[in-house]
Amino acid sequence: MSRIHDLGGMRGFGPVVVDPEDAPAFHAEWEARVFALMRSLVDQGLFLLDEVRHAIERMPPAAYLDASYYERWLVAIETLLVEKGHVPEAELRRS
Amino acid sequence: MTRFGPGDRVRTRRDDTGGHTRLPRYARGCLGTVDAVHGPWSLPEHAAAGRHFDTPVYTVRFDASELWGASAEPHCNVSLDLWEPYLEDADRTGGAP
Repeated sequence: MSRIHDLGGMRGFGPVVVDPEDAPAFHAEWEARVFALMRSLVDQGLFLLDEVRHAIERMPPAAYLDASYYERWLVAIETLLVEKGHVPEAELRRS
Repeated sequence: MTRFGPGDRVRTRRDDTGGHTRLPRYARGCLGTVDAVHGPWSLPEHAAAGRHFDTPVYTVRFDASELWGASAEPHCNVSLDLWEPYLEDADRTGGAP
């Protein structure tokens, strides 16, 4: 049935934490780069937003809950680049 | 061609294909009222697989008690924008909550 991301109404996660309005947009430089990379991939038509969401929602539940917002975006980018044949998986694993 | 219009009573589908959707679990099988008609917009179930299929989208208003039961905040509504395939005619499926 519904997957791990579908958390509305679930107890145990505590209140939603909202950053103050003057907080920086990104917690780290790598987050800004992931944001720019995602925008570029979507704007060029390589990914649809729905495909991005679907890739995130397919994460194993424990991995999803452990990941931060932009970590999940990075998972989606890697998943879709490999599934769509743009980057061989072996090349992603090399680092 | 839209199936529903403002004021119509609708019930969200209970069945879940397990793929990408924009109908949250907490709002499945719930009775609401159509407030507005939008679109058509690309159905997320198909777009997640790279396919383009448009349907009307409706803003549907639910009483909080319909979603959360007796523990819901009183006099509270929740509105969701829902694609047409997520909805059934409440009068046909039974209007009573």
